Amino acid sequence: MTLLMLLLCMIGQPSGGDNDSFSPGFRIGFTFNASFPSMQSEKDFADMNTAAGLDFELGSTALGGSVEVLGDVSEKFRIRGSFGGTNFSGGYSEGYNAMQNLFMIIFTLGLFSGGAEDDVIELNDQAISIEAQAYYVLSRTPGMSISAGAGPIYTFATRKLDSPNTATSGSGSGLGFVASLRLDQESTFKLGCLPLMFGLEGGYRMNNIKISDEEADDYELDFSGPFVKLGSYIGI
Amino acid sequence: MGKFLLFLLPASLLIFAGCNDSTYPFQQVTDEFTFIYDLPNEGGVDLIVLNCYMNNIRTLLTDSTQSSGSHSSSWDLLDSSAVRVPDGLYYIRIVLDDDVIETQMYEVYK
Repeated sequence: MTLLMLLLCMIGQPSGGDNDSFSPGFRIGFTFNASFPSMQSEKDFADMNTAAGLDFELGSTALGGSVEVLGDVSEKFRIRGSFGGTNFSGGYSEGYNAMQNLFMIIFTLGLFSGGAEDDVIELNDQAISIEAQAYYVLSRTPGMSISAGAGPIYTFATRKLDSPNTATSGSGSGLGFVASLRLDQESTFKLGCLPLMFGLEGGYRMNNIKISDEEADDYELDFSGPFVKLGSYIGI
Repeated sequence: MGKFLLFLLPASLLIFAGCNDSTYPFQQVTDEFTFIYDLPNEGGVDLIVLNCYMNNIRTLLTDSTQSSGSHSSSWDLLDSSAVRVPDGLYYIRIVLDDDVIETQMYEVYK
């Protein structure tokens, strides 16, 4: 993403003229999101698997992306709406025995080796979220703006657990809250005829989803935690 | 040719051994089964079955005084409502005097 931004900055041309004064407008774009969710239930689940003798590995970062629309209501206020998804995963995998692998390479004269690891148990937590946020612009220069905002988030989440012979899934939805600080590029780069801008956002999300299936008995997927987003936008 | 075959035989054995390298640290069960557990000392034992959401779906034994050593019990794959559990991963917790001393994992399927 960073390389793409640099490339776009290099081949893009700054548009001149109308950046000196504020003019309300909208921008639409894609963001890459990384968050560090609490996921305490999944940590407990991983611990239970470890206690059962599995080397269960749980990720610490949830990755995803979203489509966003960002609009300036006035010089001091800005709104944002987004639709996106994020994925958190973990699992237990097995590889070939190292010694067996070595013998296999020797005896097959290098024709065969152990190969890739086999995912035995796969855990996938996915969230699809709709966010709406209002921001107060703390500082604005012709080239950059800093804004702080907050708003509601509605999330639909699923939990999938696959083992060699079974597949278990559950889902739920819930309302949350997000607060963040944004750094937005205000001067546009012309990429062909497209006015291009970049934005960076960091904040904290409170988003605890309960799995509503009977078996789950309100098992919680807690996507709450700090996050960072990097987005590229086209000015409208 | 004979030397080549000498190489080929262990190679093929290793390939098939590798393909069937099912060393899962859990048991795959389709019907009622018996499991074994060891107690380090005498005390009150609870045997609890949890599903993959860590919910207690069946208590097989409650505060039953047992001596130290090896013991066995069985689970008929039924939950507390006497309904067969759905396919999935299940865990049996062996609790001795309120401390979890062992967790066993089972993949239950039809």
